[in-house]
This record gives sequence, C-alpha cells and structure tokens, in this order.
Amino acid sequence: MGIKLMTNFLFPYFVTNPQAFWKNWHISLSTWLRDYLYISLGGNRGGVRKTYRNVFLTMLIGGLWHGAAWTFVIWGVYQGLIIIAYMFIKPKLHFASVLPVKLMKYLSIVVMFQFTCLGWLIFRANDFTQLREMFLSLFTLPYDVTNFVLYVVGYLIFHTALLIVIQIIQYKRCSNLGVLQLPLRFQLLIFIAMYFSIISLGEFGEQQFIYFQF
Amino acid sequence: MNSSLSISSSDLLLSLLPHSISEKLNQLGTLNFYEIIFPWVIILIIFSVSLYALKNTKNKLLRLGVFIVIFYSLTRVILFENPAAWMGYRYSLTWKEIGFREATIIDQNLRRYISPPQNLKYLAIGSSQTGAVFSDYAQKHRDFYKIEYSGMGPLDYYLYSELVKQIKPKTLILFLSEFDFGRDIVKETMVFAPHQSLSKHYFLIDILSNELGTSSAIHLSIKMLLADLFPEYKYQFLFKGLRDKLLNKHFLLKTQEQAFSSHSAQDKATEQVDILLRTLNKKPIDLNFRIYEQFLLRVLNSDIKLVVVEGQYHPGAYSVKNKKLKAIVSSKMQELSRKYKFQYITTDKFPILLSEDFADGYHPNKIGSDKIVNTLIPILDGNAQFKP
Repeated sequence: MGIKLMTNFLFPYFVTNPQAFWKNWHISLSTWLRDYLYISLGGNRGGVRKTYRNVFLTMLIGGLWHGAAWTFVIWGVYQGLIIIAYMFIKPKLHFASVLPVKLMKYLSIVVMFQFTCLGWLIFRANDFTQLREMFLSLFTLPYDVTNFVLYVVGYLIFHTALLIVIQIIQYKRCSNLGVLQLPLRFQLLIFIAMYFSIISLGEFGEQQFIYFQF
Repeated sequence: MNSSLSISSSDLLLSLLPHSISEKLNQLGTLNFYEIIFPWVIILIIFSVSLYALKNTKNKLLRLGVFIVIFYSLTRVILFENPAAWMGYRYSLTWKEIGFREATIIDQNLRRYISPPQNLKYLAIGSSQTGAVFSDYAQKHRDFYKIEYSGMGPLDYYLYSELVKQIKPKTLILFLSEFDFGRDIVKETMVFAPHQSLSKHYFLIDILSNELGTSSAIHLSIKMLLADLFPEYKYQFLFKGLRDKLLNKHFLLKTQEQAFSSHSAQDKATEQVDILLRTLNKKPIDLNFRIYEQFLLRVLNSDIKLVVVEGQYHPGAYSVKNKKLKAIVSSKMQELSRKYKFQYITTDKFPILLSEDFADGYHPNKIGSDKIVNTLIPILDGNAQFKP
C-alpha cells in the first residue's frame, strides 16, 4: 500500500545488556529520546560524569513519558541506573573472556532478561505498596514452591511455548517475518496452531489493550 | 435427522455388537447414522475437490489455501463431528473441570448420535432437576425421553425450541417453578445453544436490550453467530478443561473444594438452599415469562401437547420470600395455560417432598423422584382427552 512503518521492537528480550535493550525496545520512542533529549543534553561529549547524568535524565524523562505516576518515575530511574552500571563495568568485563563466547552470550541474555523483568514489576505496579510487597516477596526467604506457583508456571509455559518457538525462529533468522521464510508446511502448522490457540483457549472478555493508555 | 436411514443401519450395526452394548443402545434409541456419516462425506468431497485443485495449479498461494481448507475441515470433523471425540471428552472431563452446563452439553452432543425412538410419547426437557426426577424412569421406558441441560431456564427453552420440534414428542413435559423464573438470565451459556434463525436473533436482541443495553445484546448475538460458525470457539471449555486437567489445576488450586465449603450432606444441602434463595428475586420474572411465551408459540404450533409440572424444591428452600414469588409464577403459568391450552399440574396434586426425598439442596433422590413420577404418569396416561 506504499506505507512503510519502522521496526519498533527487534527481539529486545534477546539482548545482552541494557544499552542494547534500548536500541531494540520501543525503537521509535528510544530514538526520539536519544535525538531530542540525550544528544541535546550533550550526549557523551562532556566526559564520563556528564554522560552518566545525561543518561540518567533521559531515562527519568522517558519514565515520566509513560504517565504521571511515581512508579513510572522509579522505573525510569531504574533503567537509567542499570545503563550507567553497565557503562561503568563494561570495560572491566574482560575477565569474562575466559568463558566460551556463546556461553557468555546466552548467560548475558538470561541475566539481562531478569533485569528487564524486574523493571516490568516496577512499571506495572499500581502503587508503592504493591511494589514493596512484590520486591519483598522476591528478595526474602523462604522461597516456597507452592501449588499456586506450580500452576502459574505451568500455565505460563503452556501458553507461551508456541510464542517462544516463534520468537526463536525470528531471532535465528534475524527477521520479524522469520516464520514466513520457513517451508510452507511448517508455516501452515504454525499458523494453524496459533489460530487454534487463540480461538479455543483465548479469553474474549473486555480488557483494554495496555498500550491504549500510552 | 434422517430417521429411516437410522433404523436399518442401526439394526445392522447392533447385530454386530455384543449383546450388553446393543441392549443399552436399544434402550437409548436408534443410532443416527446421518450424524455419524454426513461429516465424513463432506470431508471426502472437500478432499476430492482439493486434490483436483492441487493437481491443476502451481500457484503457491492457492495451494496454501487448499492445504488450509483440507487441514481445517479434517481437524473440525475429528474434534467435533464424530462420536469418538465426544466420548473422549465425556470420559476425560467432568463438571468439576468444566462446569455443570458444559458437562451436560457434552452429554447432549454425544446423544445426538442416537435418535430418540420414533413416535415418542413423552419428552421431558429441563435443568438437572428434570434429570434427577425423570432419569430413572426414562431408562426403563423407551417411550419416555429425557434431555437435561444443567441450569436450564426460560431463555434456554427458547434457544432449544427447534430441538424439541425436531424430536416431536406427543407430549412435552416441563418441570418449572419460581426458582426457574425468578433468577436472572445467564448470558454466558447462550453461545452453547444450537443454531438460531435470524428472526430468533432479532427477538433476542429486542428483548435483551432492555436488560443489558442494545450494544451488549447485539454483542451477544454476534457471539452466538460466531459460535455457530466456529465450533472451536463454541466449545472452548473443552480445550480449557483439558488444559486445566493437564496442569492439574483443581488439585493444585483446590478449586473443587472451594465450590462448597460444607462437607456433610446436610450442610451441603443447606448451603445449596441458601444459594438458591439468594439467586431468587422478582425482577426477572416478567422477562423470563416473555421469553417463555415465545417458546410456547414455537412449540405448540407443532402439534405437541404440553404439560407443565410445578416444580418442588428442598423444604428448606421455602420461605416467605419465595412463597410470594411462587404465587406470582403460578398465577402467570395458570394464565398461560388457559391462553395456550396446555396442562399445568400444580404441587397440590403431588405428595409433598420432604428433606429425605432430596439428594442435596436441588435434586430429588430416587424416593423423591419416584413420588413425582408415580403421580405424574398416571395423570398423563389418564388424561389423553385433557381439557384445561
């Protein structure tokens, strides 16, 4: 139809560090923040401290952009801090070169994913009380694997398994349209599995799409 | 239902089966070969046309489309249009995993492969109370057929009116009380109903608009149409039930035990009676009767004699509140019986059921159901020339 849209998300859950996350997540927003805030503040041209300051302020305002709530501000601060932390330790990561490159890469993906999910906890918390409760339950013992936990984990795996397979296919093929590059019979299997998953297991209640609030 | 095809093929198949199974099937009715074979005939036609299309085209998109049609049709028949699938669902899913109504939907879907006997004398259709009252009698008498949908109410009678007309019994028996008319309509179960004509959709939108608002009523109607077109949407509860069974949800989350906190039979009955009384109120009575009247118009036009039996509940369910509603419902039913000339048999014609006549808060046990049936059948058999 002649309309070309930019890629807005490029496998952000497969990145190995916070800087790469913001190059691959909500790219339209992050490039705007970079061009109109970070660079306007001076970018990385004023020395290390000023660079850290500019990163921090950019992410803080990026958090505020999501809404006028303290949890969004804290989330912005959190994102700024982990980027700064990464920038600080990056030159010191040479010790990790003893590990095989692939292992290091997959470990980094897993670790970064935990930091991302921690950020989502802050992002989605309704208020400070809920945020405090969630963090307390995360970081205080004992960690009981209750029946409820078992069920929730099983439920999540059941519903996301197919999506994860598709994401891996897309990541391996470096394309959001990776599934369309598969042989026809595999495409068919995936599309039919997706169709049946949605229509036979989907919830069709009235739940507003989260991004409408943004 | 193609009855003549059913009979001769049924006799042939029955002769091949072990005696105990063929006797059981005989009691239920005749195998409906039309329902069993027709979907596979359609599949065969689709396959033939598809193979022809595949052979004569190299167009990738068209070939993909053909594969999708073949795969989708096959999946649909395997999952929904054969008795083996429904038997599988029946034996792997219970009401504890999928809900009461859903469990009876599976039973009735399995039943569609067995046609009720021809020239059926009596058909009783209703909620699980109807099942509790008439199941035993129906099993022993081939001229009495029973269909139950858990929680069936006046709206459901309207939605299932075509099924009643299709079976075409000589006498239709309904077991109804103020507890059926005095509760709100359950819109969630509307998607399970069989296909409805456009005029019925129009009526439903019209009548439910006042209750739910026009856009909600239209939304419901669209959901029903989608359910007609996509059984994988209509029967979502099967797959969710199987998923929950796979994930051992009810054991892990103890959801079955949460349904009723009481443990003793007496306490459970009391709890159920409390729920009954809480759901009972005057507001839905008018709406339910309007819908019920439409059901009457559809069914009574088909030369089916109607008998409505005033339902009885556990003695603990009777209070000042529901006595008033009982009087309202009874009065309205009397009015309708005069207008449409059907028989309305009130509770004073029956022995009063005591708490020991009930298995729980809702359902008569064998003793209770025998009391009702042993009174009702002689009335029905003796009243061939009944005039209201």
